[in-house]
Amino acid sequence: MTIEDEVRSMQKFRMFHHVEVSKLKLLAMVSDRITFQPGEVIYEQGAASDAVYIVLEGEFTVSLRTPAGVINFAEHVRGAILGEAGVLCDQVRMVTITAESPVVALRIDRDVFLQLLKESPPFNFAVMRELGRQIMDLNNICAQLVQQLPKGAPAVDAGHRLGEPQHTH
Amino acid sequence: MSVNFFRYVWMYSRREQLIVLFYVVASLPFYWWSLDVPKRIVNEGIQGSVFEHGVTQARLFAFTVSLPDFLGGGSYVISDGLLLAQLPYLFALSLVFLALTLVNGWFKYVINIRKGVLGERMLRRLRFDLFGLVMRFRPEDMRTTKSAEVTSMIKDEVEPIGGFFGEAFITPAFLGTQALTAMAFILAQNMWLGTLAIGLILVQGVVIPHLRREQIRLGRERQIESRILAGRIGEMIEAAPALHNYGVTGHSSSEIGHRLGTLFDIRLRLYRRKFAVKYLNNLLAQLTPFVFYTVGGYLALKGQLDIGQLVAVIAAYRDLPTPIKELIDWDQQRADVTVKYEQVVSQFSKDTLLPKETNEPPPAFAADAPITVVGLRVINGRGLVQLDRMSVAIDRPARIAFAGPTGGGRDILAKVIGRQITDYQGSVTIGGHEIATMSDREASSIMLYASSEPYIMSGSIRENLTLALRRATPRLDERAPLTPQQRYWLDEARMTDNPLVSPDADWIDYDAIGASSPAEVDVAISNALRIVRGYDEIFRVGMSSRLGDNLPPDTAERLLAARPAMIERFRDRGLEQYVEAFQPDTFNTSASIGENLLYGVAVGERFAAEHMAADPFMRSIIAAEALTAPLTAIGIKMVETVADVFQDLAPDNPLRERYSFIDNAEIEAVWPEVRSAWNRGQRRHLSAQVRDKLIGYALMYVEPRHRLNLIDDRLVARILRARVSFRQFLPASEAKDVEFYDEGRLMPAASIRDNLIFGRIRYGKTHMRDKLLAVVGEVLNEHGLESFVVSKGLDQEVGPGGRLISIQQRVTVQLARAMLRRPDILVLDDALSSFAPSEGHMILQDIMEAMQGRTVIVTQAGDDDFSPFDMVLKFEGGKFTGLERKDSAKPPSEAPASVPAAASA
Repeated sequence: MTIEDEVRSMQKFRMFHHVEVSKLKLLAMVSDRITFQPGEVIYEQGAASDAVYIVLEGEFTVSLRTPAGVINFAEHVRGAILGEAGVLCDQVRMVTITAESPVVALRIDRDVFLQLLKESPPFNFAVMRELGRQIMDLNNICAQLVQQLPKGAPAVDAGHRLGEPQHTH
Repeated sequence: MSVNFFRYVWMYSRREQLIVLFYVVASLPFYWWSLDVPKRIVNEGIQGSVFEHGVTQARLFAFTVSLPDFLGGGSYVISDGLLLAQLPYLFALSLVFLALTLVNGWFKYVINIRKGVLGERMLRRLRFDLFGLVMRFRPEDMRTTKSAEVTSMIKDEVEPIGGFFGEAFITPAFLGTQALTAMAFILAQNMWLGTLAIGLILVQGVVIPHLRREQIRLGRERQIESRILAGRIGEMIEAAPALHNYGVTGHSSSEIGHRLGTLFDIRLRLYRRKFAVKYLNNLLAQLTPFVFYTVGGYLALKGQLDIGQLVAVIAAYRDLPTPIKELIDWDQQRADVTVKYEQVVSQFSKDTLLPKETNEPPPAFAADAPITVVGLRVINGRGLVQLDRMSVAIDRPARIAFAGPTGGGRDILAKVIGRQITDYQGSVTIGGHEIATMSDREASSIMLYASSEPYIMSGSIRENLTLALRRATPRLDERAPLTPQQRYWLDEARMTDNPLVSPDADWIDYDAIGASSPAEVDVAISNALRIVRGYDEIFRVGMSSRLGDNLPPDTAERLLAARPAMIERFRDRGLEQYVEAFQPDTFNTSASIGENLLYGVAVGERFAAEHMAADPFMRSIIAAEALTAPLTAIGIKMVETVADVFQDLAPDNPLRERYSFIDNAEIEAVWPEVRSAWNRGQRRHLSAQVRDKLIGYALMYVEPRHRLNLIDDRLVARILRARVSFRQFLPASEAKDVEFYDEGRLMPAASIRDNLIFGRIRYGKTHMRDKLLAVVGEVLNEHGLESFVVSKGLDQEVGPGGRLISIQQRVTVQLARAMLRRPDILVLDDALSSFAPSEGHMILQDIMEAMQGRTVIVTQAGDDDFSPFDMVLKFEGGKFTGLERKDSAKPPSEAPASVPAAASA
């Protein structure tokens, strides 16, 4: 697979609809293509957010380790951008991502990703739109979850983390 | 430092000046004789005045010493002399003249040398004194000082002063007595001529200095103007990125242009003045011989003056203008230099200076002596209150937070305690000692201050880390045998009050870190780096640094043993698929085409990646294996891609990193030619230069990294063939330029990592890099090589001002310095702001843990988490608004400072 192929697959993704081809090419040129075998961890909860991944092929699971056990809460397929929130907010990884089938992804280093945002307004816009879409989805999910709650359940709090307490290492 | 130039000179060079003066006085009789002998040559030797009346022989060299009457009179004949005929008499006198010339020349030589040495010594002292003064500026004054101006003053402006030190007393004495001798001589020959000469000289001596006054004024103006110019240029160079950013280089150029114009104007006026004075001077000097020839000739014709006398007078006078002129020059120089000296010294005299450094051991501070702030108030230079009057007692040891918004009182108090601001009202004391008046030695023995702008000097990381430890002031061993060279250095340093101890001596304060040898210092450095979370980074740097030639044999052995162990370990952990080992008959896809061709590491410049394509031998191999055309094609494709994708990016945009070997300027030069050749469909027509470039690019191509799909099996086969023939045909004399990969040998020119992994990490597995390197670290540790790698990492150069390392690394170095020293009080003034909040927090935690039982003062934002602190001082703008104390204020003191466990992998 060459840069040309990567650009062609990215063009098909909804999030990159408005990004011009030359910028997608630039994106491909400054990233590394990485393949993950099924079961291989793409990144681990609590690790430093050192890169952003754009999944070109394959399926993966998102899971969260909590003191009460592991929650697998979503499965996704290609076309997703992974880890951008952690990089943007300078936070460690919130979840663990594991490849379900062979996953091919472009890995963009943290600094390169931030530079790219500065460099290309369409790309910047694409990332923002993706984040916005995620928020809307989450709102939707939240609303549905709240509906299922019994009356008088305690209020939720954004400051309360479900993940395991972090170990410094 | 004395403001009066002559006092300064006399104070420090009295002895030398007197010695030279003695030489001057001793030279005078010979000077007199050298004037007298020509007269006798003409009168007695040539004209034969002593041979008149049939005398055929005359007595020469008869010396008689006559005692004056009060000593009893009488005379003693020391030598009867020689009786000589006229011709030998003439020759003898001439020989005497020659001898006198030689003696005079020797005196001049000795005096000049002594004068020069004296001047150089004084210059050394002056420069050192000035530097010492700058070092004692208060931090406030330091901030308003332009370094370029001070540099230009210490370096250039005092240079002419240095030349004058030797002249200050000696020249007037030497030239003055010489001129007086000559004058006396002329007067002794003829009253009239003498008086005339004196008259003319007086005119010269009065008129010319008068004319020169303007010249001096202009000279001073020039000095000030050029100093400002140096300062401005220095500032603009520092501000260049900002000037580019705002696009205002035009304005700054015009300012420099204007300043150069002013300077030009001053210099022009100076030249006009200078040459006008010179003209007048020459005229007056030439006028006197005119008077002598006419008046003297007239007197000689009249018989009132003999010819010999006239010749002698003219000879004496010929010598006379020189001393007089030089005296006038001296006077002008004096005026000039004293002005310069006073100018420079006044720049260096501030009302208050820091106390002088002493070698006395600092007083012991009680471990729990509190920091007492009484009525502290800080007002900046423009009268703005930066910190309102406050009093507080800070108990020690404790963890203290100064909380509040940035730029407010919290920063000011931290800076006062950190001695960055010494101009304050009220008092801040530790154990009864006022902070602002402590000497560096006292203050640094108890506390350290770290800001967000670390100072990094050029040198290695190790040198930067141990900077904080270089305070031992090694003692001079008085009894140690010295080589003449060492003795000379020492004597000269002593004579100019410069420091006697060489900077190369061992200045490390081993006691402070409980170490006794450099190796133990490395251990202490590693511990300090672990605390501030910089250890892994240094380890990584060490891993990628060159292995180097001069390895201790046992280290080399262990490295070689570690290589198979590493591969073994990779296999055990199921990681071997992520590494592509170097194999003689396989193409390594994770390495560049050039690396594959060479199958080794370039030792010198010759086969280095950027020169490889231009090397004739390499090119002949490439041509022999029919690689020229495919490589050129790859180069064209790369240039095309870069030109296409990167066209909108600035040349220094970090996104270009992956193709950084293709220079933007080169693209612009190469691209049009490539495109036109392409359009004509004739790739052959590329010029040799462009072809070299293209092949050079192709040699850097790595398929999985650049992903342009340019490598196929045929190309691989050809490259492998070329690899074999390269090795086969490489002339023995050039074998030293390459180290071929060999599993059984180390490659000094390659990085430690390459030496161990003996292959490349696959590109598709970059995310495994950390895991792989962790394994590498593990194996290294098992083979006892970790300290070797870290030590290599510490050897890394940081570049001027630390430009070669990142901002975070600079801060890490500064924090590690502090951790090396473990001061009783550590002030962290926004020192962690370059780290991400989470990382900064972890570092702070580690530092506080390591500083157990000591005091840490940290500036914090008002809404931070204050749970780790024993005491919080709150600030609102410039106001101290409140104090919060935790009940269990005192942590168990005397707890040994523990070193956190080994760094995480």
